[in-house]
Amino acid sequence: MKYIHCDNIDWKEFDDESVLLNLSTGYYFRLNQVGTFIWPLISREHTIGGIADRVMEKFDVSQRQAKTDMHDFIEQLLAEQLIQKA
Amino acid sequence: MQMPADYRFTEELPFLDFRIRWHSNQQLPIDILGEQFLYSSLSAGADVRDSFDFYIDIIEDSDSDASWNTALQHRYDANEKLLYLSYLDGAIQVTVDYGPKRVTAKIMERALVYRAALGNWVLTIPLSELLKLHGIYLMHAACLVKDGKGILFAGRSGVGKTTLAIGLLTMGWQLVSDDEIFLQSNPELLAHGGPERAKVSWPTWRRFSYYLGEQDRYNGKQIIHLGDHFPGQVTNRHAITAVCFVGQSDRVTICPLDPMDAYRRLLSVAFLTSEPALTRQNNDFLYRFSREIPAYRLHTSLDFKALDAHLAQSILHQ
Repeated sequence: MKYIHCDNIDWKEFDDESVLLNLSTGYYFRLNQVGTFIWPLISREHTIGGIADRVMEKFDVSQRQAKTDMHDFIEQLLAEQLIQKA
Repeated sequence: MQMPADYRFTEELPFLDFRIRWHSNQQLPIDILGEQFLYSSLSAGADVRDSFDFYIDIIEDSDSDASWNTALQHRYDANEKLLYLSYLDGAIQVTVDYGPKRVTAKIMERALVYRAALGNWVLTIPLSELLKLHGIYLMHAACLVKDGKGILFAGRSGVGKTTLAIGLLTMGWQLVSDDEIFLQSNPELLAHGGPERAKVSWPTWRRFSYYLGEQDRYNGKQIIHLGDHFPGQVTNRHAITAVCFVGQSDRVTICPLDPMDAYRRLLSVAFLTSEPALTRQNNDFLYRFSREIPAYRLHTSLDFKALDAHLAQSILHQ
């Protein structure tokens, strides 16, 4: 499964953290270090499974943990209309 | 957009390097806006950078018993490329058209009693949208200057920005604005005072009556020009060297903020969502601001001598 960023989302990075701003609603969302790593990878080039593998390598977590966290994060981004299916 | 023909009353006023042209079917709103606002031309002899037309249509109505919600409702229509603003449950409806740089306001006659808020709704906020086209951004903040350093004091309505501004004026600071400023990179960050005069509540007036003069108790807010009470201490603009996010407390504390925290706080005091490309540009500006300008969390009491000393120690003399 692949996802892409929705239109009108602006991303600002600060060291290990970042903020997503929905330019249509003005709502903004803080991303932690893992979310900041994942956000730029969400694109037509990467499957969710592929991103989870990279999270596992980068943050030294189990595959199961990476997939669970990835699933929760994607659900949250979808609910906030920050990403959509590719 | 269809424009009613009866705009017999007109007036042309400068603000910064821009020209505001008022058109109305009645003289009253132009008078109200004229008595409330400071129209200042930034550079003597400078060319006018742009002109904005404001059309005000006063609509007669008979229902005088309504009680209104004063919250702003707003919606950007991407197809029409129009920003719709609505106040007092629709008794004031404002449309910003970015193409011809035109603002139209339809105001129910009874809504004119909101004199102190009218200018913010009909002038400042729509004007701020048009100034975004020139890279100038409105922020809810007071701006004061001491020892050649300009500090923004940002915070939402009711946090005490006007009280803080008058308190620092009594300590010898200079004032750019007590409530709203327009920011511009030039290339240094420059704050221009907004067009509105100060709106002073009764408790604040009573606290500073030595400077403001004796006054009977009143409800709501008095609109005054602080320059009349603090001659020589009001200036149109100044470069910014720091920003403080203001909260109330029983003592004064100042803590540095990291850029991320500053940025998120800036988002909450900036007027952001409208035309998406302009909102993106505004967001870029706030991001640069948060990375370049030192930011602090300021909790303050009404002890302005202590506040002055803390600001000197923590910011001005750093």
